[in-house]
Amino acid sequence: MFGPMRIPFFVRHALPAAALLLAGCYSRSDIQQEQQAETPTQTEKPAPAQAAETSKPAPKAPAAATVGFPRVNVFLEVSGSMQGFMPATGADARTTQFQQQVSEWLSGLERDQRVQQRRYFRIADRPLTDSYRALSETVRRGISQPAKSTSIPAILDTVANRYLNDGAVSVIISDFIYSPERPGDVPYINTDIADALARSRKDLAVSVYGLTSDFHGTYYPAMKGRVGKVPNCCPEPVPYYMWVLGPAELVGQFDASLMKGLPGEQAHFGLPALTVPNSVLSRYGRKGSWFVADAGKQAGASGHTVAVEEASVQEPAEFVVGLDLNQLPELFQTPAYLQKNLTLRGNTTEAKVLKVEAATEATKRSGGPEAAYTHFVTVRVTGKPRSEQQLTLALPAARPTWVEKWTTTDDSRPGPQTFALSRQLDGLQKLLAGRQAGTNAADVLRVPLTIQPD
Amino acid sequence: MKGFFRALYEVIGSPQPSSEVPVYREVIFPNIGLLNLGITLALLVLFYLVINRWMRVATFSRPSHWAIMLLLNVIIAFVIVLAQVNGQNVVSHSYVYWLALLNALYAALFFFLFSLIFRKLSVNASTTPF
Repeated sequence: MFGPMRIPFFVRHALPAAALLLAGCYSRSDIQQEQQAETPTQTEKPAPAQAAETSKPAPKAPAAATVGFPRVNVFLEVSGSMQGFMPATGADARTTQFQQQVSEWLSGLERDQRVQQRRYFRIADRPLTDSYRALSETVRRGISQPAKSTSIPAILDTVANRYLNDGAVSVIISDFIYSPERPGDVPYINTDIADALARSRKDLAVSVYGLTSDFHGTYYPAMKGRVGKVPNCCPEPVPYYMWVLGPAELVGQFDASLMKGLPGEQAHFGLPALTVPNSVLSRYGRKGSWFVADAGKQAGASGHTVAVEEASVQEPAEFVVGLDLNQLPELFQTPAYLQKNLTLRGNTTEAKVLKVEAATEATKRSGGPEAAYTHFVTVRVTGKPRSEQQLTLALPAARPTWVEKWTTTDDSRPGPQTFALSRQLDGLQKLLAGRQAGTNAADVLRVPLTIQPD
Repeated sequence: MKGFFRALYEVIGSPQPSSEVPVYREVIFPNIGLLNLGITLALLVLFYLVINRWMRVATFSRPSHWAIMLLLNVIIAFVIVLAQVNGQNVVSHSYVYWLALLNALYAALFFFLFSLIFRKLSVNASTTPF
């Protein structure tokens, strides 16, 4: 009865017209528009990350073929404390591991086709340009004229601010024994390190490689309180370090190519979170009843969504995610490390990483989709999901456990430990954590997955 | 349409092995379903319209002849499942034969149901099968 026809003409036509006329004033709709204009900037920030996570079905072709380094700088510390690593060879011709490892690495760098330009420096009170021949001579024959010792923050400051601006990767080879001028300054070592690098490039990443070598010479401990120096050292191997500094992207590639095969330990700071080629393999290593929901029409195709038909604790479903980790530093390619650290994040307790295996000859030659991957992560699902759930297979950037073992608070008796190493690396972590949405802030790599009921 | 065929063929449970479910749902079910319907209709047209209306063949209109056509339809329905699955490169499993059997059953059912309509269009066989 009270249909639209009953509404008076005035209300239906004249009022909206009046509203249109009044729209020139500062009205509620303007306020709303302004709010709309403001809100996207607030909410958009997490959005690109999400979009990047969810919408990348096609695994990107590995960029291994296009890796190139426009410039690599090598800095070798040649102060008196390094003399024990590079003793002048006597008649017995004993060489240290340092000499073998470093000269081998230098030669590998010199020969590498991917590096366009190399520069070599000895670190005295300032970096002195050297040639490959002279530097490798120094490593082999020993330091003839030791330079005055330079503090670690000073070296870092110089390298980070003067030798990285042109997109170069810089490698510092040193024992990284940093003794603050006053013993009371020890708690500020992390701040000193962070300050030294703070004004460097925005996308700075640092990879730390710890190696050990025998040592024939005088050892200069960081804490000079008890003993000034330890002559005729050392019965035990002594650590030295190679720090790789540079733009995050290049450091990542440098780690994966030129720092391969080094013995010892490594830690990485500020690397961007990588999206590695990945997919759920529909036929490889499977158990239980599930299928790849986004596989499409091709038989045996891979995808990123797992539809679970049935799963229970007694009869779990297990699926395998293939990953190509060739682009990552060697540490993150170790199956044991991955097994320990890979986690599955999401709103479920019923899906867990069961095991991580490296590719074998059999998988490489299989001709199936598994041939494209270097690692296989088995995920066990012990319950049918009630609804669609987004999961993330992530490798969190935890500080490696070796750092604590290699750290000492008193190095007056030299051993395979470095004074306050953990503080130095804390400084790196503190500085580089917030910068990239990558290592230390969160993850080394992320793989988005979906599980859903059938 | 996919959903219809999926419902039709999953009355015996979801495809086995489960890794091949997407291929069955996306490709094989619609294919065998449409082929089944098409071949059933073609055989009915042949029996009721071609043979028993336009050609007026007088000796092929009895229920026994209708049963021969039905049997032919059932066999074809069974064979097309095996052929379709073979063509899709799926992991082999005895489920295929259960699916073929089910398709044969549906072929018989469709043939009977559509006969009730088609016999009204026929001249010689308007009372076949009953």
